[in-house]
Amino acid sequence: MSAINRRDLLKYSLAGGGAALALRTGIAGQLGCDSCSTSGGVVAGSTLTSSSGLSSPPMRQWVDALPIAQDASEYSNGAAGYNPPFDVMETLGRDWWATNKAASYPLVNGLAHQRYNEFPAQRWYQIDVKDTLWKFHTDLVTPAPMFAYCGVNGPSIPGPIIRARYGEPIMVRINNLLSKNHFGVGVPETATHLHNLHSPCESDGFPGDFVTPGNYRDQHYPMIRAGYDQYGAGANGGGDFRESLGTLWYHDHRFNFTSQNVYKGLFGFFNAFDEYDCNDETGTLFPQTNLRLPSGKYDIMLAFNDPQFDNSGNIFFNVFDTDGHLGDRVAVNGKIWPFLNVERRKYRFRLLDAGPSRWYQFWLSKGLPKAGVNSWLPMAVIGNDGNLFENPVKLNSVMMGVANRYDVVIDFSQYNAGDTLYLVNRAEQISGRGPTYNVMDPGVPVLKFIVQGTTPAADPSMPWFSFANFPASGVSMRPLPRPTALELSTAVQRSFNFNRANGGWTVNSKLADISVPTVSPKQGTCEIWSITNSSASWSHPVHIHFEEFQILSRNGVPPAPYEVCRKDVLQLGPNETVRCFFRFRDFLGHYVMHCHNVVHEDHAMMIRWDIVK
Amino acid sequence: MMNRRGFFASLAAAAAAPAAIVLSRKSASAGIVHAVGEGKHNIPNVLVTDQDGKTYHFYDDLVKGKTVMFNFFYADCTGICPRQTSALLKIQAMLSDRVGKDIFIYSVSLKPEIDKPKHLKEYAAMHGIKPNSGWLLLNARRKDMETLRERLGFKDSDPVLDADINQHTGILRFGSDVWDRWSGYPLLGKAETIAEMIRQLDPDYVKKPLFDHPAR
Repeated sequence: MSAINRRDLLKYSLAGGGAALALRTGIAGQLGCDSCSTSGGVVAGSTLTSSSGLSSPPMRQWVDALPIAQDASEYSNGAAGYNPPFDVMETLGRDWWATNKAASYPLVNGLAHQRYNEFPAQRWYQIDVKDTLWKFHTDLVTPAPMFAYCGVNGPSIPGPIIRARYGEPIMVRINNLLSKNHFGVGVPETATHLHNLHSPCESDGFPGDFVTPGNYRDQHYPMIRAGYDQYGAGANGGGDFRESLGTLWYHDHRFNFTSQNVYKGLFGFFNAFDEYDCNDETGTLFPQTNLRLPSGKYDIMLAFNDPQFDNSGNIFFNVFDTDGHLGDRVAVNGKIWPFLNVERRKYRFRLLDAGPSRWYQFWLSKGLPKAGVNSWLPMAVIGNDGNLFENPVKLNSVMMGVANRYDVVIDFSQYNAGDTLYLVNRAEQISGRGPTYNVMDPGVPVLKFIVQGTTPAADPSMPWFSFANFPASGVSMRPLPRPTALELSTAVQRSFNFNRANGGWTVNSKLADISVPTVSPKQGTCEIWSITNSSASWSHPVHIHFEEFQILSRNGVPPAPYEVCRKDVLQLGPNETVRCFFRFRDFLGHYVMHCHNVVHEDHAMMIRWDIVK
Repeated sequence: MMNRRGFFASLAAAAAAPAAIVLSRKSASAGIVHAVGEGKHNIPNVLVTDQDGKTYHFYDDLVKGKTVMFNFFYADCTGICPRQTSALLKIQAMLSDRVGKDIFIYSVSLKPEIDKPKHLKEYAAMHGIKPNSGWLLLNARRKDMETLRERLGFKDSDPVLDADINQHTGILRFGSDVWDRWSGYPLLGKAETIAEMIRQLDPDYVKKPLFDHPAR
């Protein structure tokens, strides 16, 4: 690609003149957004707009330490840990389903879970869901009443992390212990979606399949790679090794209440590892293939969400605002303005926009950013939506819609003890409808890194990588299973036109309705979905469950390098059309496609699609 | 044992003398702001008049302690309104054991200058909305109607769309003031789904999956 990329051209055409182009290239790309599907201008800005009009009370910056995800509770004695016991015939849990499961979920070969005999669980977890009180900041006097997933240390926001391995199927019991008589925002009913594991539909957290208080649901995660039926069984989950997923998260998906329940705290982390992404930077595991990505305490999930506080420190949510929720504070792993002490070495940060509606554009600044001052540092971005790129991509910023993930490697070895770096959100957004695509200057710092150590720390990670030699030649982190010419020529083509009529969402001019499938792809086939946003003033992060897709073209041109990958959340800006390639494999049943601005989702911006024989 | 009304009253008492919500900007469009878990809200208490000419305080008389659904319409609307009214009739029939007892339907006119109570009564008769059946067709002064529309989330944030009465919001807003649970759905969506969602606002209702699952 030439020095002027697609973004510049788009911007050039939007600006209708050379001034913007000169600005963009003249400052070596430092001011514009190099990871946005649409690009605006640079505007002054150092605060976040709230959608409620409220202002949060003052809080000191950088006084709370960044919380690191706790472990999920795993039973060392396997299935025997479950009480009531696990029964493969009854695995959908006690509830309406316990007496009516045959009507609700037809059994397949006598099993409630598809293909359970092929992928019997080897690891057994339980995640309780409880009411809790959570302090988003030391300076807030009153803790907020929240919902939370529980790990080994009890409730936390975000919830605990599960680190899974391909080839080791797991069962997770989601145990709803919320108070039935809950009062206020949120409903005490849970449908847990593991975004975007290759899991059978009955364990996917379909929005209508929620569990009421006092009941549980056992969700089966086979930990196989997509393409299992084509490539067959094998080590590390079999299937197509190029289809491994890495950075995932789980969150509530209760029909029509997803935004309220996620805002109330129901989201957590899930990482998957295989023979390339090994959770072992020393290279002991899988020495032939191990990419030796930073691991252990140097591999950190960062979830961003934006609570709004009133003057008394209570957190607010306007259930009558259908555009979306914007809070004026950003919590990182459940704390506002946290700091993290870092050693002088490489870290892997897995960034997640946990919503409900805010888009972020993260930049890395040496020292606190100041208006008009170029303190921005390039980042090595190794994955998008949880999936490793073929090669790291060097970016000044990453633009994230709700549920997008970016895996970023930051090397602190070149800094000195006491140096500070900041992760800065520069996306301007003034309503829930979507970002303006303007870049705020200097933006809003949300996380502070404080460098420790008089000498660089030991760092066995990524010996093949250096910024001086970028990208590293001869290393392919994860080859991309590109569509073949045959697949492209035989793919079923479908169009989805997302529009709005009378305040409701329409798909191809019909009101979105998940009681029936809108489309039903055949198992074992591939399709090209052309997804269009007909509105000029809305942006939608569109999420497709179960199968990852590859972008063939965005507005008629090939995708930029940071979108040449497998994805599960499509940034669909105003008036954009994106063509996406899918393969539908391995399991049957009902899944959904929806806007991951979960306020839009809760107002029916969702369709159901089924995989059929 | 404390009954639900008592439980609600005690919660309300605990939240008595609600602190004034300080709106730093955009207060007019701020809508209703809820404290998570506390149910603090400011549904307008404006005066509204029904098709029988009876006048009510909107929140105190029509919403407090009830499960309710709202939509907006006008009598001579030839766009989505007739289909919406027929959808509401279906939903009313599906919830016939409760509508008029603890569930109420409110349709607020977008043309208050034209849709006077007697016209609303004619509209009701013409569309088969039975008298005293728990469904009120409401007229409010324009200023108050705009307040209701804005605070209840029926205003389009795009001023061009908002000014086009043919694009008026077709969302059905429903919720339980008792449990402070609120949601919304396009009124022309599947009536069975909407009726079931309204029943599900009740914590003691035995819930069923909202959608059928296909055989695999």
